[in-house]
Amino acid sequence: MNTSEYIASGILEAYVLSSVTPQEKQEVECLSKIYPEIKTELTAIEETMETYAKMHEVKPSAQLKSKIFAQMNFDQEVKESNSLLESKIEEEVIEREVKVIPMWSKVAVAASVVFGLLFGWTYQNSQKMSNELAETKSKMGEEASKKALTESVLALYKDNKSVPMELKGVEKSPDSKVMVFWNKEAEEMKLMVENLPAAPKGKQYQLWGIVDGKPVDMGMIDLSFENKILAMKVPKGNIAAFAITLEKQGGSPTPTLEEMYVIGNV
Amino acid sequence: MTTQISEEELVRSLKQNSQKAYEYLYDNYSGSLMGVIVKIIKDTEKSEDILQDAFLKIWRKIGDYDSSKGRLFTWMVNIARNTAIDQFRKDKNIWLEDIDESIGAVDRKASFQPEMSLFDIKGLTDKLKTDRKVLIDMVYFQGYTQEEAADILQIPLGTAKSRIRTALQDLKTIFKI
Repeated sequence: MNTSEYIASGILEAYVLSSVTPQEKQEVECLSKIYPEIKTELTAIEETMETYAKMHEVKPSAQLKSKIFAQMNFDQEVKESNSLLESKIEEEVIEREVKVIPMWSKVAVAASVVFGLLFGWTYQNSQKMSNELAETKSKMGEEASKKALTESVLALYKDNKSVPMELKGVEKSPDSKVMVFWNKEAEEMKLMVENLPAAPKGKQYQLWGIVDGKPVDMGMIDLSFENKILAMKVPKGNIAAFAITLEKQGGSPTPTLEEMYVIGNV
Repeated sequence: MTTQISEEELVRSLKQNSQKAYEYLYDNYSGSLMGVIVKIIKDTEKSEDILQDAFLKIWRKIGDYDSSKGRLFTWMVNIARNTAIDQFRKDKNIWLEDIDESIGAVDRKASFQPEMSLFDIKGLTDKLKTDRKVLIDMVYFQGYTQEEAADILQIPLGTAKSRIRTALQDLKTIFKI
């Protein structure tokens, strides 16, 4: 790519002046990660506009500061980044824990009932009760595995070496969302589907990395991807973006762009 | 003046919700943000309300800021500008005018007369050719797209784009002096 031509086109200025389409915005963000000369130019323009704005500054009245700060709450020091998602997950964990506790007491109650019944009641009844107990146990197992998932997701968010990234749904499927956690150092990637339509029969989702402008296979996504953390391959080179397309089962050598569901720029 | 801290350090403390960091942010940037807002809203009192909204948004959304995509100020100024433009549109809506039409109409007059009093004290940007400055101010301070600005000034889009680029090149040189 001819970067000097790209720089000369004026798109970087437009980007800093916030006069670009969402697509151009993505493009600038993506290219400035790949080409250091674009990044340098972009930063220079940003600094220039920052100085320009500083020269046109208008001081707000003195009392405004305290008025604003009175509405802010600094009690809780937020942990590093991804605050919203993390708090959402934390909430969920708490919720689950709350749910789990009564589950145990239910089992205890059920168990004591079973004991009582074993002594006093007929075998018929106890049969029914033990079925219920089995049901309760399996429910508990489900809850526990959900909780385990939430905890491992939370651990991924807290892992400082992994960068969480959101792959957002494209026009075709705006509600789709997939999270990836990229450990650049270890060249590892974990993937969690938050929302994707179920793959039709004979089809399977495939993850791609855009490396130096070309899509590279990063592996297939399990057919039953729900509530799972999947490990994906990380290709060598400069990865600029990740995308998921729906392909034939087992995967394709190149992505079918019309079947792209989510994408996220690095 | 407070001591300078690196942007990286500042962002980290902001993300950790440090009050000191936000005070530093306010002390150093509220004037620049207010400058942009005033250009759109043209009413100091209302502008302060917007600045308040924008600053609270910055505080709430700091987790979304991604330093690899650009500088903190660029991100903040976009929030301030968008908050101001939203408010501007809401105000205009009261009169049931066509939103896009009215933005053009109301600001058309103003955009041709950049308020010189607000312009830099050092007189540096006077070195910038007026036709270029007008463009930058329309797009950066008033939230026009390049297309709209070109339309209003009745110049081809390509010309507008290259003027903006030259203007920024000039500014870069001017600031280096």
